Amino acid sequence: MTSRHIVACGLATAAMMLLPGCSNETPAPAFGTGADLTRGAIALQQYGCGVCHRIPGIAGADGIVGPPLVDMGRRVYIARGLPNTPANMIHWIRKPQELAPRSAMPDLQVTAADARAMTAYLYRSS
Amino acid sequence: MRTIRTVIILAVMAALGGTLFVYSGLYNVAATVQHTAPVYWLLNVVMRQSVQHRARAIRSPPLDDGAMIEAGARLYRVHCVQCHGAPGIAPAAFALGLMPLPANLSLTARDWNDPAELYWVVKHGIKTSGMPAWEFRLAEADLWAVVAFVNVLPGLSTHEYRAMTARDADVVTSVASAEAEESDGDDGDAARGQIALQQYACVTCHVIPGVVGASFPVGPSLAGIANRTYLAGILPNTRETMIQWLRSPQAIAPGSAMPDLGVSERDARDIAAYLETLK
Amino acid sequence: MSRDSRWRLAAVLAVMLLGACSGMPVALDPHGSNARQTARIAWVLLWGGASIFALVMALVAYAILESPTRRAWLGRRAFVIGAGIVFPVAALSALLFYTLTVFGVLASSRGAAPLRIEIVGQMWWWRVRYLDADGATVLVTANEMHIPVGRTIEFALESADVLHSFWVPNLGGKLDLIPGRVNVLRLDADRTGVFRGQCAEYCGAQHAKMAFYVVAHTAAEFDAWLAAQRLPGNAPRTPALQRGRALFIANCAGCHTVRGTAAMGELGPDLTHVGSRRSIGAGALPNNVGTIAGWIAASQHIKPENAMPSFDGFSGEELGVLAAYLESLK
Repeated sequence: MTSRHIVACGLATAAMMLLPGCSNETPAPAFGTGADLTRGAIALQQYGCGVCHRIPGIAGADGIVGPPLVDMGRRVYIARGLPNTPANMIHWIRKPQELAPRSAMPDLQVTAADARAMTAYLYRSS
Repeated sequence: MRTIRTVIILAVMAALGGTLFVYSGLYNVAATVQHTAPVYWLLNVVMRQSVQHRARAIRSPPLDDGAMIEAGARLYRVHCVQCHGAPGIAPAAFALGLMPLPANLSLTARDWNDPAELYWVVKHGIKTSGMPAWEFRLAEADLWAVVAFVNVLPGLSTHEYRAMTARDADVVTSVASAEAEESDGDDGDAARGQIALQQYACVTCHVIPGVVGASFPVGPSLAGIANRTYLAGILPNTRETMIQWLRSPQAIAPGSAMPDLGVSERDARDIAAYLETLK
Repeated sequence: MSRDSRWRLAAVLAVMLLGACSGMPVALDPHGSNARQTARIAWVLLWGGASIFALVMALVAYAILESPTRRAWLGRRAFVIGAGIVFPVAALSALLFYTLTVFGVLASSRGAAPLRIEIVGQMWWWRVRYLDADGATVLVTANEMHIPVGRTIEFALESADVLHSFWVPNLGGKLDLIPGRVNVLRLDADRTGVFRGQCAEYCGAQHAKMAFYVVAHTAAEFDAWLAAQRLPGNAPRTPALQRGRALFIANCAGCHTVRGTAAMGELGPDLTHVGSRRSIGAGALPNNVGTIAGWIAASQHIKPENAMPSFDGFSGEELGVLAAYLESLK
């Protein structure tokens, strides 16, 4: 067996070992259209969400006041024990004071379309 | 001939080395010490692959019947919540000392695509993990009822879970108070705090840098928590408020999915000290 | 010039020209007489220089390619002196005369009495004072200037600490703010709109986050704006806003002013009508109740080493009412 064979066998083994591990985690729920992604990124910037939260892919969004909004697609609960569904996320973005009255997260009067777009973006970014 | 000789020599060396390793006691099996990352990954992959392979022939029945889910909720409350906890409810004290920790089932149900796999695990258990087999203690219908309930767990909020399980008389209180180990208000031991994170099952719900296997995004990630201004959006983040939060989250943010775990003052101080290193 | 760099130059020019079409702060998109004059000088230099360059290149080509007898006249002394000394001196003198005339026009005050605004640059924000004809202060605000269209605005530029520079590309050129000196810049806007300005002289780590907005109104709108700004801050109408005001007085009055309350601090920007501004943090952030809260809680993270500490000891609820109060100061 030449060294090339050994290397090839080694790589094949490693590949076979790694491939099953790829499918363990749920991909983020498919939500929203491509246009929503673009609009969501803009909305997150325009409402100033990055002042308090770190948001991947948004320039200047590296706030430390609230938790980082990474991997939102994989979270089980958002804010105050709410299960992570698109409807709940949109509700939270639009009316946080209803769901968690003493929270520092403000009511920014986000429109329904903007909240939907932001949710789509947060779910797809990680 | 030379090749065969080389192979034989290598095999003998491997056997000797293996024997030495096994009998020397070098490998630490303490449940308080994390697995190394490669060992953890290996165990996890072997488990998933095995379950997937063996469950592929099983067809699950329809799981959305309301009565079935309710029956599953009752069974869950009696048999499962002690180890796995529930939204806003902690596992029992003994379960917090297990390694691997019993998974948070809201995440499992969402990440495992096939309910038949969940059924297989409930029925057969998992070797060396502490997950018992229920095949000889629950009827088939009961096994599927539990699976049906676990299936809806990801969408249940704390309030909804309590409402679903409130009617039964045999409430299993799963929170045991830890020994009141008072610390003397010192700075806290971050190294001990890293171990305590495992012992209070924090790793089953939070992504925590520096802790193997803490990659479950049930709640928010704890990366950068040292610099974060607010805890749960309510409390300004200082050492003392972090200790308060760790010890009684339900009092501070009612309805939060984070349960009261009976964390002692000393353990809370040590955990807070570790979290202060996560910048 | 290689082929690659030629294409690059063409691309750059195209982008610059196209940029003039949008409202972005590009110096080639003038909306005031100062900017217009400056842009004109730029175009004169560009086209004049380009033409002379083309002419010289033509002569070079002629000198290389033409037969020796036909091109001999290029070497004659009369041509060398005429084209090499007399022409440049004349052209450059004309250019000098032209630009000096334009600068003279820009520097002189003309027409009706200008509106006087005093700007004091600090690290890293702009203190703004509107003055009347006698130099008395009419209004104190910060980080945003509103002006009437068509009237000359006389900005008196000073600095409280280091060098800064005042630049609104749509309206005019830069002028430095020099400690110990008052520089006067005269600008005007020829249409209503919002123009972004920024500090154009490196003044420390947050120099890039020291911007401002100039908003041009019609004369009537400007008078209304000025009258509204001169009123004291809105009184809080709900219990939550009153709690917010109490927190403000207790924590912020040492550095900030809100006219109509006990807060008369002058270390930081005047906040009497902060809710009406387009941005906070001197152009660094959009202005809403959330960004105000985020600024209060973590200003040192957003603009490290700025003079305002991060107020990270408020509970979530306290922060919310405090930010709501500030946002209500419209």
